[in-house]
Parts: sequence; structure tokens; C-alpha cells
Amino acid sequence: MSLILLASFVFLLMPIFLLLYIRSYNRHKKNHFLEKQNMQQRFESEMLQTRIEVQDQTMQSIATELHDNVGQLLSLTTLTLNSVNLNDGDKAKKKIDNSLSLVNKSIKELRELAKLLHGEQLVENGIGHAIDQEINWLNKTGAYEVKTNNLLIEKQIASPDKDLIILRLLQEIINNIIKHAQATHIQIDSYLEDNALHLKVIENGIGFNPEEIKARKSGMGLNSIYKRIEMINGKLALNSAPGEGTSISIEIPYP
Amino acid sequence: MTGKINGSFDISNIIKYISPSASSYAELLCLGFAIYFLSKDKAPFWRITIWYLIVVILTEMIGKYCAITYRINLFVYNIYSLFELSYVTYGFYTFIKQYSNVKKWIIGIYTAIILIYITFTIMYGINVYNAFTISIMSVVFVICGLFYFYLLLKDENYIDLKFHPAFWWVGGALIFYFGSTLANFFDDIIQQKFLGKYNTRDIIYSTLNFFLYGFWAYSFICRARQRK
Repeated sequence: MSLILLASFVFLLMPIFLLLYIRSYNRHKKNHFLEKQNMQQRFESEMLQTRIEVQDQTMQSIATELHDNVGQLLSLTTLTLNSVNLNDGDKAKKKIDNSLSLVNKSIKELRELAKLLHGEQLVENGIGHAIDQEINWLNKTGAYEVKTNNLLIEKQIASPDKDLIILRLLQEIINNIIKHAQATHIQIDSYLEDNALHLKVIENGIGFNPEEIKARKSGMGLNSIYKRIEMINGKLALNSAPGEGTSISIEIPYP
Repeated sequence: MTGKINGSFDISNIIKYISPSASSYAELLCLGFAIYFLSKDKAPFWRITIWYLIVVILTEMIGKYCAITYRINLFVYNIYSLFELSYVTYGFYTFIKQYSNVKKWIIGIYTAIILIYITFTIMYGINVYNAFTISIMSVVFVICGLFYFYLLLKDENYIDLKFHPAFWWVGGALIFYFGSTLANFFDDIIQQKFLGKYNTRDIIYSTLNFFLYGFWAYSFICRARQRK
């Protein structure tokens, strides 16, 4: 009889231990949950940072463009119009025609700028278009011989968060080239292969020692590039040596 | 439930038996908690809980009364089993359906147990303790409880179990039905055995009742807290 009592006692204990186990498992789940929440927050804050940086870059481009391009065109228009002598009909007509063409050019430039202002929409039209736009701006500077092979334009798939990060990565890479590389030739390729987006940027600049830059921890926004690539489970291969140019190859699971 | 009291016919004892015994104090206390914490609840399951606990208390009283008056009270507990089966099944259904669609299963199992119950009653009469059905019911409830915990663990969302009424309700039921499995299987043996002056069955069930109604009472507090 006492055996039955003892067995019943064991049978009573088992569910109690089960409940205790569930509670302890749940505590682990809580930690995991908090960690996940934390990661999500970090991701969101990084996305916000990326968005701000993209906007910032757009603003800078606009400011430069207004100052260097539209501003110059309009100044020239003012000068031309000021020099019009109404008594000399032929010359005046020529100058007014010139001014008109300058104003038209300004209007065209302003339209281009307006397109740029829609930084966010740029990404919404697809990453292919966003990359194209970036390359166009790089081309316009006229300082580089740019070769591109952008196969993403025809693609219909999109992934808004990743698109924004990819655009920012490209902007950052182009910024680095402009600021540090002293390159004359740039090649930018982008394509989709095996559910991954590939982006390759090769230039013939002065190059650098990647290990040295990485160790410095401050250099060239390279750390932020690595961090963001990691965030979207991408891979980055960087090849560079002093005097031998740089090639950057990015692979991101997509979409 | 304790039940099965062999009382002698004595008027002065009737009042004593109708008043709560040691084991039904837990039930009474649980009912008190239910009335206090659940009377404003809108969810059907928690409203039914109050009525179920009233049935439990009434069963104890009628059981004791019948034992004294008619010297047999097993039919009271057999009838009560139907209430118990329905309420606990509904409880498990309410909690499990949050994670998985088990309506058909629950209805199927419920019907099967009812059929077993009816068959047993036809074969042996209402006055024989339906230990067979109750054993099967216990096993089914243990499986339901374990299944609920499995779903709870599998679920990705984190819930603070300390204040989760379903966890405590199922926990109480699991302890009770798992703990009573042996007592059910050896029902015939243990009700004849005594530890000192205490019946083994009473000891086991009093302990299990204490856990069951204790956990449930706490789940009512959690439920009231959740409602806020």
C-alpha cells in the first residue's frame, strides 16, 4: 500500500518537475525573444541611418548641382541678357536666343534635380534604376571613364530594405573612389544570379592595403559597409593593393 | 473528488457531513476565488468555471448526504463525472485552440469517452464506480495537457507564464490527472487500505485536490489580472 502511495507521490512530482522545466525553458525563450527584439531594433535604427545617409547624399548632390550647374547657367543667362543692345536687332536676337537656350538647359537640369529629390522613390522604382541613376551622376562629372553593365533594370523583383542598403553601399563606394582613389577608369557591373544580387565595382586608382584600413577602424566608411552587408546576410570581397586599383565584389541574397 | 464515504445513519451526523470536509475546503476556497475574480469575466469558459465549481461543491454535499441516507453515493460521483468530462474538455479546447485547430479531435474524443461511459453504465449500472471511464478520461486529459505545453513551448512568442492563466489551469489539471492515474488504476485496492486512520484514496485525492484547486484559484487571479 505504501508502494502505491509512493508511486502516486512520484506521479505527482513528475508533472511538477515538468512545469518547472517549462518555466525554465520559457525564461530562455524570453532571453531569445529579447535578443531578437534587440536585433530588430538595431536593424531598424541602421535602416533609418541608411535612409538619412541616402537623403543626405541626395541633398549634397543637389547643392553641388545647383551651385555648379544651374547657378552657372542662370548667371550666364543674366550676363547675356544684360549685354543685349536693343538697337542692334540682329545681335540682340542672337543673344536672346542664346539666353533662351540657356534657360531651357537650366529647366532640363532642374528636372533632373527634381528626379533626384525623390531619393526614396528612386529605390521604389527598383534597385536597377537607382543604380543607373547613381552611375549617371558619376558619368556627368566627366572625371571618369565609366563602363557599366547593369542587368538589374529589367528585373521586376524588389526588396525595399535591401534595395536601400545596396544603394547606400554603392553611394559609399563611389564616394570613396571620388575622395581617395584618384581613379580614371571605373567599371560597375550588377546582375542577379542564383537568388543573389551581385554588384562589382572595379577601378584603376591608387589602391590601398585593406588590412591596414580595417585595423584603423575609422577609414573610409569601410566598417559601416561591412556592418550593413552583414546585416542583410551578404558577402563582400575586397581586393586592393597600393598602386593596383581596387575591386569590390558584393553578393547579397535577393530578394 | 474524494467521495465514497461509508457513513452510519445518524441525524446529528448529517449536518456534519454536509458541512465541508478537509478536502472540500480547497474546492470551497477555489469557488470563492472564482466568484471574486471571474464573476465579471465575459469569456464563456471562465463564466462556466464558476458554475462548474458550484456543481463540484454540490456533488460533495449530495454525495455525503446520500452516503448517510441511502448508504450509497457512487451514482452521484458517476453523474458528476459527466460534468467534469465536459468542463475539462472544454477548458483544454479553449486553450489549445489558440495554437492549433483541434475542434474535430476534441469533439471526437469527447464523443468516444461519452460512449464508453454509456456502455459501462449499461453494463454495470449507475451504482458501480465508473473507474474505467475515469481512467481513460485521465489519460486523455494528461495527453491534452502535455500537448498544450508542447504547443506553448513550440510557439515563438514569449508569454510571461507567471501570470498566464491557461498555464496554471492546465498545470493544475495535469498534476491532478497525472497524479491520479495510479489511484484510478488501483482504485479497488486503495480504497480498502488505510494509513493509520486515513484512507489511502483520501490521502491521494486530498493532496491532488489541494494542487488542482490551488493552481486553478491562482489561474483565476491571473485571469483577472489579464482582463485588466
